Amino acid sequence: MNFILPGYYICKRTWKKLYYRPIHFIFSFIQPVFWLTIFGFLFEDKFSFSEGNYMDYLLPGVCAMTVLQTSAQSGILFIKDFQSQFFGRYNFTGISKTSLLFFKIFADYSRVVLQVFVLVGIGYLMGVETIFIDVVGFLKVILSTFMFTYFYASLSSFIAIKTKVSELMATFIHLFNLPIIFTSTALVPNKNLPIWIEQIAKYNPLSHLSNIIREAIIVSNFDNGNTTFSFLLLGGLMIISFFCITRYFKTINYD
Amino acid sequence: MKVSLNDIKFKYPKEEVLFKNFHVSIKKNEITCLLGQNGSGKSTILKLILGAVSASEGSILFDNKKINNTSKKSRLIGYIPQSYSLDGEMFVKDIIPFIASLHGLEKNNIDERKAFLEHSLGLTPFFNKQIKKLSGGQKQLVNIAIGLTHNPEILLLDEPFVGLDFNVKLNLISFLKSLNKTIICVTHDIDLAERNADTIILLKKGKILEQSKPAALIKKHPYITAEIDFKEGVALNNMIFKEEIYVDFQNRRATLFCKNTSLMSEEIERFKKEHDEFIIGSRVSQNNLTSTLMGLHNISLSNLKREKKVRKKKK
Repeated sequence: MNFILPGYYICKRTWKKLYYRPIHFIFSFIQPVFWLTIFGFLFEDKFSFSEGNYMDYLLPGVCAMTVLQTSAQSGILFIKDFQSQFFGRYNFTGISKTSLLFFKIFADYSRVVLQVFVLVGIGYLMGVETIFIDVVGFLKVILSTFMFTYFYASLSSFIAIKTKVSELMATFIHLFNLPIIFTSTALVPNKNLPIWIEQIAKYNPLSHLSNIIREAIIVSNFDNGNTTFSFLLLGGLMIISFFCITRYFKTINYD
Repeated sequence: MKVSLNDIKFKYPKEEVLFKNFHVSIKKNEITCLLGQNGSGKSTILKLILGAVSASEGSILFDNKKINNTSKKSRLIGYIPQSYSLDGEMFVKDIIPFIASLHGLEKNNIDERKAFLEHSLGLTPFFNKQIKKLSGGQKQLVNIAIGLTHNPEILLLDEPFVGLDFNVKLNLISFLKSLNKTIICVTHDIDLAERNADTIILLKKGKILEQSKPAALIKKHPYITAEIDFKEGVALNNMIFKEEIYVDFQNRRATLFCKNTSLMSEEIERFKKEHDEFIIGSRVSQNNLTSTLMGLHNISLSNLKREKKVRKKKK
């Protein structure tokens, strides 16, 4: 069976939904702009850097947070499909559940990439002048967001398929996203975090995504840690998360 | 393609066994209608063939071959569920290629099927509309189109004509017949089954009561029915008919079943003369599948009631 064509149609379905309801896409930029404006204003003098300023530091963190928020919502379409009983259709077609999940998340990933680069543009317009993206930097952003999206969107899809209730999905988003954000280096540099949060931040996947994006798009030399380790960590999480959800996905059967 | 269910044992969780040593064979390129009351196992047969539920014992064969591969099976079978099961936000023009692609069709085949179904099922007037903006009948046509996207050899239809107006229904039936496929249809529309089915399978609590051509079934159980409507305040239980006639009283209507046409006419005339002041109207129906099925169903109920009465008397 050709996997590319169904993949294209699965992505097209998500893209078209976005096209006909652009409000979701537009609103997904409002929150990051608030983060940039409010946090940029509040903390611009609070943290000192050997190179660059807080806005330079903040922009990649906000990009990473946007990846987190969009990935967290990935399961919502599955809930809608359960509610309309459309999900049952997948059981009576030849598509494998692995392909279905892969392409569904890929559609969300394409949105994530677009959001990140639009945000970088907004950041530039807001005065972040140290942006520089070469081919390697571009590939780093593409790869790291791919890994993070597949890791977190798989979790989100698992919650959606397991609960089938949008309220529980919203609870998941609120319960996990904020603690992940505030225990990472997305908003605050490692050295300025309390010691116990610093320990958590070391293993927080959002810290690693922020560090990779920061290193890839900002010229200023921040303490981004070992990005090779960051890639390995995100890659590992992606494989485990996607593998587990696929295994679970195969066991469920709805008519 | 011939479909046969052999020695099937099946039960839903926390329920009694529905099928035990169940056998049925469905002929190639015929329209087979499954009739029976709710809970008789009609839709479960479709789900077993489809693979949506699994039998604990027995086998399901397609042209005498067992097919376990889900992908292969899905290419063979087109399923049209009772509920629309559609994504309201999608457009009609998008949903057909979407499902076709999941079935593994190539791009040119997808376009071909899309055009064929659009014209055959009369989808053109709403082809560019969002599904949530369609009427119930239009949604049902889309539902049917989706079941046919991959040109399957077997069609499983679960109450497919609900919500369709008369003309659309007739056109659709002639279209489905022209496809020359093995069609297994669950329906409560007895009239439709009588006119269009090659074979009727009558089910009751997981057992086949009858499996034959509609005409043969009517010939075997040639019931005629009569209905008498009474005025208000009449004690219907005191009405007495001859023993050969089975009666079912509901509200102010008595429905009579009998195999003997002349006896039925005589009895109606006698009854009218004796109770004319209580009767609003009466009618005798033709000998058809509806009267046959109503007769079979009600006589089994009447027999149960009579047996209970006899047992009480004996006690």
